[in-house]
Amino acid sequence: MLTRMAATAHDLALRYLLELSADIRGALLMDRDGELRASAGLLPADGLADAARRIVAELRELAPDGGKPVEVDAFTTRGAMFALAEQDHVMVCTTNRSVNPGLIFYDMHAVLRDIDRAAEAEERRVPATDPREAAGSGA
Amino acid sequence: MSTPRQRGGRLGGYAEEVAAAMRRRRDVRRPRVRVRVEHGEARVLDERSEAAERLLALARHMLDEPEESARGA
Repeated sequence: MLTRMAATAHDLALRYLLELSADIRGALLMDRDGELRASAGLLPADGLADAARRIVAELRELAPDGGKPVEVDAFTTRGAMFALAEQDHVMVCTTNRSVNPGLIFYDMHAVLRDIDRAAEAEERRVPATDPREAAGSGA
Repeated sequence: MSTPRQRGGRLGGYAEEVAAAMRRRRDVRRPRVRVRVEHGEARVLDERSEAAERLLALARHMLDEPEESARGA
């Protein structure tokens, strides 16, 4: 499902997340295997892909069954990191300390839902174009 | 007019309030990791556990020296 979406859709989704909440500094989107799909906002310059893989591995360890939604928030002295794993995606974002975790997760869920809807719409659209392409190639 | 004992008691009360406020502030600022799987109750990981330490290290890395990023795969 994830691979059918254009990369720009992932980028736009993260930018929308940053617009939804002014508290969110930066965001990452990965697939459940830990491959980094997109990033936006203020994030470390080095080791982003590696950090993404390690975060996904930690979430997998917390819920070994796989596929179950997992929410993790980690508060440090400098800020907070939120991670949300769902069926196909893992989203991570960083914020300052003074945020309401419930609101951050709400926005993350909303954006992941939009990504799922876009992917489903894309899947429906692809078979509809095939017969035309086939007809066009035969003409 | 209050006696020295009463004044001391009031000052002691203020000191306790300040100490309690500092304690609360320290607790709020203490690093912590909270996990919620599916629709279950959220649980706070023991901050000395390996999983909590690893996640806090990742969080510190993600928050460390950030710069503007916009990358699509």
